Amino acid sequence: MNNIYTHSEMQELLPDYCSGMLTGEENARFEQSLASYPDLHISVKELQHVFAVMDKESFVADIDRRTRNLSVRVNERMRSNKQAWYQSLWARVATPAVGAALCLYLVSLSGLFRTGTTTDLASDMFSSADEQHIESIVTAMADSQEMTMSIPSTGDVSAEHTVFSVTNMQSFESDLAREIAMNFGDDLPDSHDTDIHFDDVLDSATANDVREIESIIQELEHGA
Amino acid sequence: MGHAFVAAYTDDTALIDDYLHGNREQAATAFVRRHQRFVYALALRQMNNNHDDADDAAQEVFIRALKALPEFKGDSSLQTWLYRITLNVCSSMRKKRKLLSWFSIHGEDEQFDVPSDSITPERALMESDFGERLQTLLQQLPQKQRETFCLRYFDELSYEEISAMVGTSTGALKANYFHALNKLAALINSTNLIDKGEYGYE
Repeated sequence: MNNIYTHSEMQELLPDYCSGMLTGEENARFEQSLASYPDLHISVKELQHVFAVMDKESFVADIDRRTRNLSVRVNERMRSNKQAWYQSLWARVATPAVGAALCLYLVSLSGLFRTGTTTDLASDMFSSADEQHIESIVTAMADSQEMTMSIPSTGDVSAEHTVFSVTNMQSFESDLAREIAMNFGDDLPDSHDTDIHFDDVLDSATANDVREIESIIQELEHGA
Repeated sequence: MGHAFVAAYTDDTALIDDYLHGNREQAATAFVRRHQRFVYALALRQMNNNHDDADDAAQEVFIRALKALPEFKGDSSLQTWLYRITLNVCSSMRKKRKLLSWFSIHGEDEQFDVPSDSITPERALMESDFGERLQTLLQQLPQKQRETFCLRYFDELSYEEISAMVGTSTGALKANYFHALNKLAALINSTNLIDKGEYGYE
């Protein structure tokens, strides 16, 4: 009697028996046991119906027919994916790198990256005649920047206009302003040594002051 | 010829080894042919029985699997590994299709989804009837019962293998399978899908 399945074992094996998935030994043992459980007979027939409707063979044949070229398609896609990977690698990395290198080369050719903006001229580039010519031009340019200072006329002063060169003007003005400040310091606003301006002195001067100033100027001129 | 490719490898380990160190394309062919029925059927269920979608999904599954094969550690069986990849691919494809349909772009795609092999109208009708009949029955099962039934019956996996794939105990799987069969029997009885008299009971 050990060869007979229990009722629960029969229920568990019933689907596999009906679908033909039991081994030969299991199948024989199940059929032998089935005689002892008449309540399972109807269940067996119902489940056999179900598996008949499922028509596994047709289903599997349909799947096999639809997948018969699947491996070919997969291999083709694997190959095309590999090509696409190389192409994308070229597009993403190599092309921009080559483009950047080309741009750098063109930019370097155009001279934008040259250091320094001045040009050093070698001394042997000019002849002595050229140097003299250049010097005369520089001198002419300096002379053209002379400035004229007008002094208020007092009638007895012969020189109404005194011309000072630019180079001398600054030291002269400074000396004159200092001298005036020493004589008229009380009358001048902000008469500090270093901040005295000639125009301020002239503006604040009276007629007598002007005469004195003119005499001082004459003395300074003679002294110079 | 396809069987010759598959027969060249005694097991998946030899196949993987040849793919990594030997004849890559031959091993890939054998790999696809060994598992194509399982992957395609699973993809078909996941993609609502649309064969074009299932075909696209199956190709994508094998491409992903072959690319990732060097990283396959063997912690699970190759079939379990493929099962998970297939679920992921199909889930992604469904989301993508949903997004495309949202923007009404799918209509343009459909004109390119032409079946690769030609089928005669009579055969198409016959297969359509069979497919519709099967789909009508299976779609009325709860998802877990349907998956258990298909993996057990169509893919002929053991309960232990199914358990490793879906993460359910073998006892629960047996119960699911039994309930699925009872429900299918009730559905068949309520509809005239087959001739009852053919099997000797009224």
